[in-house]
Amino acid sequence: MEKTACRDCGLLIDIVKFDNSLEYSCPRCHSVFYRPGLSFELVLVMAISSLFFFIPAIFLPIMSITIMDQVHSVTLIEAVLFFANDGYLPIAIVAAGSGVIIPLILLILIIFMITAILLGKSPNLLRSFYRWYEYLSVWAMAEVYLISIFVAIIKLSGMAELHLDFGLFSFIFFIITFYVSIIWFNPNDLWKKNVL
Amino acid sequence: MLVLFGLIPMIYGKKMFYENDISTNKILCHFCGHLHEENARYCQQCEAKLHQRIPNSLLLTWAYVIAATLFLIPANILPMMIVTALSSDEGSTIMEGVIYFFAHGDFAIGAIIFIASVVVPIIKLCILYYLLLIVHFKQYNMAIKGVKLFHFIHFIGKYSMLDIFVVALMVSMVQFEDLATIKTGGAAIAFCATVVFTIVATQKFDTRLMFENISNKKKVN
Repeated sequence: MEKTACRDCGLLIDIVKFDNSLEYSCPRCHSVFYRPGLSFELVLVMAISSLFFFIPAIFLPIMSITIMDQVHSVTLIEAVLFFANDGYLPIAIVAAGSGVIIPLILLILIIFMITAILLGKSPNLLRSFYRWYEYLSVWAMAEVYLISIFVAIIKLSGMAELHLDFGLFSFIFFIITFYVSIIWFNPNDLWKKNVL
Repeated sequence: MLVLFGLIPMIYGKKMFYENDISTNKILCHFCGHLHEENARYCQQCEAKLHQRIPNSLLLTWAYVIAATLFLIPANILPMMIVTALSSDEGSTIMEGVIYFFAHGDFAIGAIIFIASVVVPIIKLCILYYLLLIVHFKQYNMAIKGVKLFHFIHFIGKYSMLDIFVVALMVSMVQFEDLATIKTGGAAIAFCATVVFTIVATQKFDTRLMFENISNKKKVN
């Protein structure tokens, strides 16, 4: 990346000596166009551990509520898909997608891209994975879901007896590892290590 | 630290001249930032389709922003959830939910809900209108401030989904046939549409349009 243009203002930029451990920002609009990432092995470790936290987070109930000896518990994906029961299928799709499914897809894409780079294989697939990653990264809202779980806990704890389950804790760990791997991973480094 | 070259603007009269991608006949890949010659159609690095500017950027941004503004009205008027407790129905709108928290002394949670579901969508739409007006009225001295605002709404955009997830959890948790049930109200779908449309609008808006005519002159040999 020696000659580039700013994505936000279009200014043409010449970098005399590119160093991928530095952060580069546009001199006119000050928006960052290169952000250094950590090594791919570290990101891969984080992403795989995040995937391990995801499995209990999605299958175990996040919390259970007790009103007059009736117990009701819910898992992450059940909660968002419940909109479909009330006849609001579009919200169910958007909420389930942005809260749970797209973060999972991003994670799998990161793992695939890094393994492809480390094994030095399939550049064509890598390119389409990269484009999907860039398209979908805007729609990952897992941390918003976590905040809303806390809000719902406070709201519900006033109404009835509430019990937090293991699904919630693994979801918290999932979000921590997921965002660490997102922050550490710089997809623009894919093109440097690999000679396409 | 930063060694950047070739961007020293030529001072000509009192105007500054910058070289951008259009004036030097280049195309920038919006995904990976690789610079191409003008006749390239697909990016060499990531094979994304190349455009100098996002096609129909202004038109689509206006469309999505207006749609989002219109959906904001039913989102605030209709009930977000309908609580049925002991066979009496009661709907609560977004503002009623906020007032409920303030009345019960949970100021922090009330403030979070208020910011996420009332302040953020309105601020986002205001900033998007402002950016569109910068482009239309050619206010180039506002452009750098506009880019900062754009990054800001890009960051806060997703937090307005908070209310949708809260409703999802409340509705799915409180399902006790005889005692109390909560149903989704009509505001949920309108609010969801507002959030999705504003995110799509920020995706479609090309900030480079704000800088378009700051004398991006062709290179003089």
